Amino acid sequence: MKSRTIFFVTLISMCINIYAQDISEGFKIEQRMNQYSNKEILMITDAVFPVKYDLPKDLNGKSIEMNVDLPFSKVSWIADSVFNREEISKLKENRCVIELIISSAGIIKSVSYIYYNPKEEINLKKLREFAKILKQDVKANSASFKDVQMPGYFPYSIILYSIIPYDKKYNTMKK
Amino acid sequence: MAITNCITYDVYYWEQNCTDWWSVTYVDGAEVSRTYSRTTCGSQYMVYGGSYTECLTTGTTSGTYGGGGGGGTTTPQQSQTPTADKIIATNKNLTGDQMKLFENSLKQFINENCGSKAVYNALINNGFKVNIEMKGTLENSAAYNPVSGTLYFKNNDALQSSYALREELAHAFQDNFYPGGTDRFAQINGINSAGYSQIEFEAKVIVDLGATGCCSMFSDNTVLRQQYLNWIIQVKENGFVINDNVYKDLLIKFNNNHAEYSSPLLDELFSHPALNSIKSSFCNLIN
Repeated sequence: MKSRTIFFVTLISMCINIYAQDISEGFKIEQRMNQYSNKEILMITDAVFPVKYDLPKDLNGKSIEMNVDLPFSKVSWIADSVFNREEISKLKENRCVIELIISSAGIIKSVSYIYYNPKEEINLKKLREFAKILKQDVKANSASFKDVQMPGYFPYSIILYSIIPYDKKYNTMKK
Repeated sequence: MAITNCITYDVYYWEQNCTDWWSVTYVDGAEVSRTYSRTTCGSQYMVYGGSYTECLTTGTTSGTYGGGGGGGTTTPQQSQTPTADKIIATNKNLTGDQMKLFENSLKQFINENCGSKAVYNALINNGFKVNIEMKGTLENSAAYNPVSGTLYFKNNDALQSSYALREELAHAFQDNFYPGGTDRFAQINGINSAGYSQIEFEAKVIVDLGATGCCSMFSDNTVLRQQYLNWIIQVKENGFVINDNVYKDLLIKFNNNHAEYSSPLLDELFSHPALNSIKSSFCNLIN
């Protein structure tokens, strides 16, 4: 009787570990805690791009603080094109934030997602498709790019839930 | 006089190439039957479809733009940069074209969300104006000098960056908010005065809480960056209520992790008064 109980506990523990390290559609899926809200968040992380990368540096070898401009209207518009109305409202409900890694040439190299209120089912295929189009069609601009002497990468987040669904009133597309 | 504001929108649409497959039967070279089989499509791709301009004409106004005055027979000229004119005291050396770039960036910045609009409105409602100057020798792309009350831009790229504007206008807002201005907290001859990192941190938080994108700080520290982003989202979700202890904790981490901003800390700035005064105008833009 005692050994059966131990086996059951071990099985539960294994299931939790598998969920925490799940890799699907090129994403690593992890649950974490937001220490400020005491709520669980869901990290859907690009499993391909390296975890460690070098920041762009200036002539003196100093890391450059990258202040970038992104065409949020275009991001919002692409989201409306990839996801249907129901999925858009799920992304909003889940408080989806996009985590980008951008090269010092302004190219989006990696796309991950964080759900700050994970409630609704995730369509990983659609998230992958969205990531693919963002990488292809969206470019970051920065006045700091000209100061880069040693190329590198830097992180940037888009509060996606605040810009969907697409509304031209808030989203004047910048040429 | 009626004022017309025009905004140009770019239009994009999807295109996809598809092929219809048919089974066709020929007898002695003549087609005798044709049956539809299937359709296969390639990937969708985005196509730029041109742009269109929407103009909105608003009421009538009194007063003039661009000088005039005196004779009474001169037709007042409408300024090309009405948004910029409201916050500029003296244009030191920008050309007409550069002023137009600045005007466009400013409009872009104001239209981005209610956080950026709140900063701009706080400046114009208080009648606070800044000088503006191009300075090619600037270390960063843009800067605000509270001693001279001047907004500097390194080049035309910086003029077109609404991000550069966001932080520097937040500094102008702080300069206007704090009694006596913020020059006593400034960096002088490469030395950061006491409170310098607090002014920098508060400006960055104003930008990040009010913006659609986040965050330029802690870029070289994944753990701290994630913590900071978690906090920004929590504050946005919690009606912009800020826990002073958490703010202080993150501020100290900022002071310790960003040597270029590091300075002695002042008790009077821990309660982030400038941020408190404006945060009620922020919003999440959740429909």
